[in-house]
Amino acid sequence: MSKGAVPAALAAELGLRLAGELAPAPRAPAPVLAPARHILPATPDISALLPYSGLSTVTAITAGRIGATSLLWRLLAGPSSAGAWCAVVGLERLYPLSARAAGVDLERLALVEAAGPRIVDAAGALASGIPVLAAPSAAFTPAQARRLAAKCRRSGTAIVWWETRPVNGADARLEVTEVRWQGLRANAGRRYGAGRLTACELDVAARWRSGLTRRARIWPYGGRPDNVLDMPDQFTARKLRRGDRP
Amino acid sequence: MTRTVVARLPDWRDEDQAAFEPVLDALDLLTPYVEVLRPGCAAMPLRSLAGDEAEFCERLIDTVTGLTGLDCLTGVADGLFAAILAAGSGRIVPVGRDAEFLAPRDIADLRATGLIEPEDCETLRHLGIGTLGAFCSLPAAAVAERFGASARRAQAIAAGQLARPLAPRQAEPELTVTTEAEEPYETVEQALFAARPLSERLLKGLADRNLTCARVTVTARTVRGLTRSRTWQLDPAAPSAELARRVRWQLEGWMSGHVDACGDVNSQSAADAIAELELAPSGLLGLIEAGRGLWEVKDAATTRAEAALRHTQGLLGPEAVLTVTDADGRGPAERHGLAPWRGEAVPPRSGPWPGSLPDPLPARTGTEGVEVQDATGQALEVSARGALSAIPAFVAFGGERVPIIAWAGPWPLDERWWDETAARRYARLQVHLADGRAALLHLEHRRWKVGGWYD
Repeated sequence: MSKGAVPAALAAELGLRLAGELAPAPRAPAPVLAPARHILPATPDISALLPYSGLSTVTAITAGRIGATSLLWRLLAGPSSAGAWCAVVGLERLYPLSARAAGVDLERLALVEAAGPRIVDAAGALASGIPVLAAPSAAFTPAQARRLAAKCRRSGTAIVWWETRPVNGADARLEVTEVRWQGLRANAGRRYGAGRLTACELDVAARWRSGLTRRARIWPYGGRPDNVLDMPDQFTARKLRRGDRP
Repeated sequence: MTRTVVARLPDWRDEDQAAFEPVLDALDLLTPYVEVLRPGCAAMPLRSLAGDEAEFCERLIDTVTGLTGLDCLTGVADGLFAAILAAGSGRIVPVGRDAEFLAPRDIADLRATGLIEPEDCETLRHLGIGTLGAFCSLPAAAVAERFGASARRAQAIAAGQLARPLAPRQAEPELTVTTEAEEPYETVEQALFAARPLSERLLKGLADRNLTCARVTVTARTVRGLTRSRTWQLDPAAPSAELARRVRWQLEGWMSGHVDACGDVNSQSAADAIAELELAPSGLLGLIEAGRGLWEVKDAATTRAEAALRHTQGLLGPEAVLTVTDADGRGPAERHGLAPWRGEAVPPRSGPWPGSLPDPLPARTGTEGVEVQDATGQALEVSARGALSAIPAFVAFGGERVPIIAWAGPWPLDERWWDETAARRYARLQVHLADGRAALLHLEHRRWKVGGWYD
């Protein structure tokens, strides 16, 4: 009797199957569930502007407004200080060291140098795993932008569109409506100007996909004055009207 | 009962461990178990039964002298310390006579244990203890009390009591794999076909030693004698997944690159075909250190993000993914350093650099030339004392003339005035323009330009 026949005969006698004949059991199909939304933390001043109080899949910042870069840094400050990698693709002439003053952890910030069609390739590669991705929308055709958003939704990446061209389907669209630089003075009639630029105050308007609008005043580099008489917010103003001591 | 042999090259001047390697390789031929005490001095155990000790020493001296041309001294004793001292004079201490051999030695020899400071040796000599034997006869408790625990251990060693086992040297594993083409690879497919077993061999060599690597250098030598090489990052937890892709990208880059560069595909690519491929791992880690499962050093999100960054580096080249670091300097341009992610470490910013601008810094760079004018349209200058020649009122650039509504400065800087080539002198001014923009302006060589835009 040949060598292989013994186990085969035994298996036939006992009604067993050989290991080689075993096939993996059919797997139950994965339950179809809507993936949980990935919300990345944002800094408290910005979270009021965002639906779900954090960065969801698509956020857009209107480029070309003065102060938009500071807003971008402030938007990346929340995720990066929470330990999430942020990648900025194809944005030129940024001075990244300024991001630290806005709260961005520079060890979690990657600048990807790409131009033209390589921006799309790079964003596609990054979207498979990076938590936050900022990219200029003008480099993408609408179809490419849609595809990238779908990919990001699957992988849990939050895109921040640097909106050089309008994109569709942003969960929130942030726009700097006004910027005020603090610390410089008119210094009329002087040959040496006192002071220095210490902070900036951004008025930001947010428009959500639902049409809801929100406004907030953001100090990306800190320095918000505590003097409530200069800048009464609604709560203290109401208190003052009622005659209470603030 | 094992004995200890110490081989010492008294004329060895090189402090370099690597230069001593060939000598150790020669010693390996005689005995597989060598401990390097320092470059030029090695110890190995010898079984008492292995034969005549003097004959072994003769063979050892012949081997080393034949290899290096240098004189070699050997010492044989029961303990390592006695053997080191015996090697100083080329002696063989008989079995069990270590203490007897050590007793008349000078007290300064105690330093060879590495446990005693020279000052303590001098103190002992001043106390009238001039030999190791006298030192050993001191009460152990008194030695520990006066000189500390390490001196007590040195006393035990000097008495020939304490002997440690030898620690064999770690052989450097040879992990680099190379393949030479019988027929030079002219196409990407041919090269890839050869590269696949090569990367498998590399990974097997690593896996056999329970190692993994964080970097791989791909080197290709062409038939014309050109050498191209590039180092790639790998995920140490799963090098195999990426290695094949890295090699493929690299070969595609090289082999399609020069076809593009020289229109004549056939003649050039045949001349530039790859004759030899080499994969060299570096950044070796143990599998346990590299594993993420047991000691969670990175969370899953970070791992995925790093994989995405590596993928992007593979796509655009390692220099395209940059991280920001602080660099030395005061001006915005020199103050920040951009380094490839996971590339070589950048030296950290040194010193406080007084005179650099405090935060917030400009968010966008700018280099355009501008003109700063006073109310009458006259160009402004800054005097040597750091005062403006007039009151700034307008900034003119690109055909526009924008009023200044607030400003500060100028802040002059005079860097490296002692060095004519590196000297730099400029003044900085912050302006807030009527259209809402704010800028940092530099005046250098009597010309204003934008140092950066606050944005």
